[in-house]
Amino acid sequence: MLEFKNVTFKYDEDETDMLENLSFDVNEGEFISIIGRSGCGKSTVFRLINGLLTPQKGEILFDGQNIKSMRNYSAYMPQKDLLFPWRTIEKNISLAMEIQKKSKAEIKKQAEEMLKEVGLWEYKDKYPKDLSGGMRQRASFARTLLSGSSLFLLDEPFSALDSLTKISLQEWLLTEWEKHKKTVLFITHDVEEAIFLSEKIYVVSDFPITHFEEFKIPLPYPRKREDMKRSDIVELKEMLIKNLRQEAVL
Amino acid sequence: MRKNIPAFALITTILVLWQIIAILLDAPYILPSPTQIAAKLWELRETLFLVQLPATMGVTFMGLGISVAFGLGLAVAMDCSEKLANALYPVIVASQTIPTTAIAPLFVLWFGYSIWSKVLVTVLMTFFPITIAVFDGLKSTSREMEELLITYGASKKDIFFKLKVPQSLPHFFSAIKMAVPLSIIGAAIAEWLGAQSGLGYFSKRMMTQLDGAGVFAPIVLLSAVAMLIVAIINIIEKKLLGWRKEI
Repeated sequence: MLEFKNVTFKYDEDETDMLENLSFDVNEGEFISIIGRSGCGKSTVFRLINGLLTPQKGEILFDGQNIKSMRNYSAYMPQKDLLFPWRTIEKNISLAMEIQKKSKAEIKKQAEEMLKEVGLWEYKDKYPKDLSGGMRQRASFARTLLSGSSLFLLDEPFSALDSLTKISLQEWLLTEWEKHKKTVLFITHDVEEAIFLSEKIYVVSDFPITHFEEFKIPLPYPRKREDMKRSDIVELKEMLIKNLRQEAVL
Repeated sequence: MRKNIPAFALITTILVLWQIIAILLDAPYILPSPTQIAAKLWELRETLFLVQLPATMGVTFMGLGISVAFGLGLAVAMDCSEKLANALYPVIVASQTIPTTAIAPLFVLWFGYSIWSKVLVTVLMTFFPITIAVFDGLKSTSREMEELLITYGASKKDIFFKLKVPQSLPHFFSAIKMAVPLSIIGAAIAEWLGAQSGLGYFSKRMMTQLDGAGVFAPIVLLSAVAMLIVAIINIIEKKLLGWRKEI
């Protein structure tokens, strides 16, 4: 579905490359987490995928087509919910559909169905300031779902939430993913979160990024919290943390 | 309401002191007392409210309307083109260093006693805050929100109407609230310098007759009207920008 082919990228103000000949694939319907130390270039990878940045060398392909000529193939959900404070929750989640010039009736129908699905029906006429952090992230995810894209780029969406809300939203996200069969790329600092959510983890282990170290998670879906206590999972978690620590020291 | 009590107390104290000083001074052609001004307002109510006030308001609203249209146009144009912004911004700022009261007689020379000489003074005084505030509002757009819209495939028009306009509305309202009193001051100054009607003109006429209360009465009326218009704008702002509460 998504293919990076020898992608090299450097910010104008930097002396060294951020990405150097990076190649990787993402298959349709996969849930992949990308972990790595702060500032290692994870978010740059997302900005390249959604076309906000252009690589100096190499190609990024979506369903075999270069993304340069494409629009609205990926939906981005950042750490901050970025809900527009002057729009009600219903209007906020309708944003992408409005841009795609869908009919008013269609927008209303889809928005209402989605509000019910994400449990925000009673808040449809409220403004973002009236919602809790968890609700706002759910609204933000609903907006991402309604963008109609099949590739989701989630950039640390739960990192600003308290631990209980974070846990319940992780479980909720998995249910939604299984239901909608979207492809998800998920950036996180939290190794446990990455293991619980994803099928595969890509670890950023060098700078500039030349490759991702790939780890498969040996857990079937649907997943339960108790699975995280399995000895092989605990071992994997310890190993990943050790890896990241070494990088931090380097 | 309770938070307004100190302000009311202060105003009452000033009015009482003013009244006492005016009585002690006993020179109403220099310092008329508040009660004398109120009496004058009542005495001249017909000409003040039915003749002079509509004339001044005509200038004020025409000037304000042109300023809003001109200011918004300039702000949007500067937001669209960085080159234009670099060329215009310093010129707009420099235009504010022109002493309006000194240049206004020139407008009378150009346009005579017609409404346009006065409208021009008003425009010169009010387009600046509107242009700069709206331009700053458009520029303060969240980069992250703009990028989010781009990832949804938004065009420049979408970004303008769905993000920039709503985000700069609070700036626009602040600018209008600043511009209303300025436009009234502009209209009154212009009328002082050359006019055949209006509250500024009337105040000047009273001056030549050494009628202190007659000078003050139109000024009090101007202030009251300015406060009323700002209050109406406040109500509209609260209705339109309800989402800002408690932020």
